[in-house]
Amino acid sequence: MNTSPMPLLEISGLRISTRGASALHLVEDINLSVGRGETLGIVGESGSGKSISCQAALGILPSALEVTAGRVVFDDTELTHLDNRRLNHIRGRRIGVVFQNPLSSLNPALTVGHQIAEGLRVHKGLSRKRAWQRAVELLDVVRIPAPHLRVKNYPHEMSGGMAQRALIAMAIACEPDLLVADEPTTALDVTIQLQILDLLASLRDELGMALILVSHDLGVITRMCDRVAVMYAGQIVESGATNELFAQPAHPYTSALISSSAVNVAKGTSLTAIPGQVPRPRDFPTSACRFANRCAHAEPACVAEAPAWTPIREDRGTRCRRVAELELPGLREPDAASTAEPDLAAASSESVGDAALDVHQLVKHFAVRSSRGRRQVVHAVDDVNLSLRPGRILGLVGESGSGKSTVARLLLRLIDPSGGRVVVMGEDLARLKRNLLRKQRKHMQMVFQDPYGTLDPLMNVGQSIAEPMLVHFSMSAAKRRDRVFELLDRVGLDPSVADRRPAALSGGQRQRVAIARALALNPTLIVCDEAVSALDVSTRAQIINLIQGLKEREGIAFVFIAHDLATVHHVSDDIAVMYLGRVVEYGPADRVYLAPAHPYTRALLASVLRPGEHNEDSGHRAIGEIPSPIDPPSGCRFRTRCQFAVDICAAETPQPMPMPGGGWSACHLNTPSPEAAVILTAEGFS
Amino acid sequence: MTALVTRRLLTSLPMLFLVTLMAFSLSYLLPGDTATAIAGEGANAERVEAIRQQIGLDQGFVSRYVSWLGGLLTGDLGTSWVTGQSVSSELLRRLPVTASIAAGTLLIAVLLGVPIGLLQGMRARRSFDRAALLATAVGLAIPNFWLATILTGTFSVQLGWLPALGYTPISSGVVPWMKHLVLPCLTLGVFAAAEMARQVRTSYLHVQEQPYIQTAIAKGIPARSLVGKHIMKNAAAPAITVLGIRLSHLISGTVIVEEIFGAPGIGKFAIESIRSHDFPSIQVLILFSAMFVVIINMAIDVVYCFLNPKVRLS
Repeated sequence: MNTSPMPLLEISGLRISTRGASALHLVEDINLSVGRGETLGIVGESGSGKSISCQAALGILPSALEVTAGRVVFDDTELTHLDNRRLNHIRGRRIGVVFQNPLSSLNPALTVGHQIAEGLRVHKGLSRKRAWQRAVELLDVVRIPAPHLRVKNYPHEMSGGMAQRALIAMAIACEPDLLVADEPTTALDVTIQLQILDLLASLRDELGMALILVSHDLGVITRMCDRVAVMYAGQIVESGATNELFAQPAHPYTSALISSSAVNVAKGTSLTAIPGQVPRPRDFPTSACRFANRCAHAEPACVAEAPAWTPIREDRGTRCRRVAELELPGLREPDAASTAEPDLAAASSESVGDAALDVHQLVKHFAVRSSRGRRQVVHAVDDVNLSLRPGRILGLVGESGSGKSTVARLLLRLIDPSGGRVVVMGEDLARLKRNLLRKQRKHMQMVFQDPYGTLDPLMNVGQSIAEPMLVHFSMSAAKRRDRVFELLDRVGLDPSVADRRPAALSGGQRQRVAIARALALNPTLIVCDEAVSALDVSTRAQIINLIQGLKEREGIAFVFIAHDLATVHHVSDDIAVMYLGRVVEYGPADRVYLAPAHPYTRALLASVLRPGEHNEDSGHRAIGEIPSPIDPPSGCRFRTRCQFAVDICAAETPQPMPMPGGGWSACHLNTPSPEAAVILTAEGFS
Repeated sequence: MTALVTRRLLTSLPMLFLVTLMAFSLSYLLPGDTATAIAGEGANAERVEAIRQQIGLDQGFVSRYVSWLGGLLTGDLGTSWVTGQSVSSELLRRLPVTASIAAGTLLIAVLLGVPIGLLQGMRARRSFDRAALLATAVGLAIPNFWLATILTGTFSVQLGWLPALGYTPISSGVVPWMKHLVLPCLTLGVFAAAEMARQVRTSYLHVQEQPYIQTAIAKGIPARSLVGKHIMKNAAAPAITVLGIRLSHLISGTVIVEEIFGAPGIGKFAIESIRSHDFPSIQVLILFSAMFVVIINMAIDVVYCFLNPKVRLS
């Protein structure tokens, strides 16, 4: 995929294997190139080999891996066999790297300033003092406020977003020719993600750098990249210009990735999930298409021999033998269903019937001590009211620090509320005595984010699922075993899984087991706290479909917590948007998503990056980062980050205002006062 | 830093108070009549009674405890029933011996353990590492009384290089002082060094796998500052903790070593005191050990604090 005559970095025929006698090839036959000033995206799920391909290019592979074939040529220098001393002239000086998790990618024992200055002293020979000054300037370049103070910070004194800026400052310190960003925004909130992507784009343009952006997120790739390479199971399966590739994918995997993304599918329909899992390296087929077992278009010939790389045009190619005959769906034209005005009359969240969950004026304050021993109060949750009927899904959305997870734990009374009521099945949990609470617990279950941490590694799957039944029901062992099989079946797993240990399962399978365990007690309410956030795109769609199916078939009520508004919209009947401990907007999912009223909701919405379309930027942004819940802003808590804040916002706490189409929004500017209406109209609000 | 030290000292006060209480109760808990023991075999009842009154055993527990505690606070640690001298002078006389042995042991642990562990980390799973792993396993497994016997047999009896017994103070010459210390310190130091090497190796390998080390490599900084700054500073904290624990165990280690090598230190003092039911000395020794452990732990915290900025803040 050569575009310019002299690419800056060219990887050809790269193969990376594990060291040792029975070497596994983790990636094979990787061909990539990037020219000066160009941005190349590498997209793929975890295990596809996208990160190690970049690490190999920099000579920073983990010690257990080695390059066993191929070349990496950077500006006429072949890197794969260079010794460390020579590589050090290139690393950090001519190629900068930004890693995924900013807080663990910074050395906890050294100040940020020291870590930035270090590279400058080594590569540019700056004096200690001059390097430090330059570090301050660089922190300013990456738009960290008060850089002369922040430069003395240790990483743990920074937020994730700020640490990522510091890491970027470090990577660009020596003005490299190439910047490699490996999932640079995956660990960050969506609002911060947008800020960091904007920053990377402007730095790329100012410094004229080439950029390689590794991501699993098609929306991020679309926003940033000229060209993209799609990786699957250690191979590049398709590459080409971003717009073209998303509009007309030539490989079934690319096409399936696009249609499993929640932003791209009409609400209410189930997502197109790719069945099965990404194979592990030891299971990579050698003489078959690696995607064939999950491919909707596979035919016998696909598993008879491995498909060769097929160029389509000069800059376009795919690894599918049926490329000539297949017409694969790409990004659809904006769907009529998703852009149409919401049917506001029909959508009403207030209907009759007993609530499965009723939350009334819920408050949670934590007492903490400052570093000087002063008593302080964390206002984690303040005056939250929610209600949910059986067979419905309530989406709870907001940045980290908004109090979503605290609400989740309060709903199950895993922690005691400071005030308010949580009524489940007619019982106020907050008042229940311990033994009654234990009985009540079987009506409400939780599925957590991390499928690796929530299953006991020493129990097999069957034992994990049976455990709640042992506690709450008296039933014979045989009956319990039957019930475990039935539960596994309901979450789409084979009964044989019951005898396996969690370690033998993939992330998606574990999350199914966690759901089966939650279902074991026939709960009326299941709280899913970021239950799909840690999963790969294709697996995520499977779990979302499962949750929707359970809701429809079995009438279970779900509280679905996530930070991604598009996913929440797709899954939920109603949405509550939380900010800094308060619900700021609430209503039917379509109304909140398509006609958001609160500036915070609109900022969240603007940070949803859709694959394939260069989003017309609504200009809505949340300024800066979420403040500390200790001593939150007076009046409207969002005002310090709001583009529209006026005097009244600081003075009074806005009250919920009913919105046309259902639900409400708590913003002073939503009031029918003429002044406020003018402000919002000027910003494009109708 | 001072705030941390003050806080640690204040929080250890209740603990030390409990230790004084337990140490003092000891004389009531142990079998054997104290006065009879001091009077020695064959003493008549009158003499035993006189001794009983002389050392205040006829008074109540509370009043004895209070006056003992008061004495401690004013620096009067009591009088040994055996030698008749003040416990503080007995203690001070023996302190240099134990301190020398402890310092020597630590020196061996650090000078031997740290470089070995570091080299192991840098050459992990290669031949040096494997050999050192075996050697440290042996070092951890050898009982110290056995090691002491072997060392004495070799270096004193056969080769005649080093004295097998006794101790000379540093005031009567540095070389004889050191010669007397080598064997006791080696006896304790082999275990400590092996433990240290293992810990340094483990934490080196752990830190090496951290994402921030990858960042540092990607920055292109030379190997020397990578190991010296990025890895060591992070790997040192767990090693320091192990060192501290070893140091607080040293006091019991010296009991055996001082007995074997006939060094008149705190450990030997403790054994003698216990044998002769010299309760004033036993009580002070218990308190001394407890305070030693408190101070060591505090010192570890201070060093930890220096190495780990996260702790420094909270």
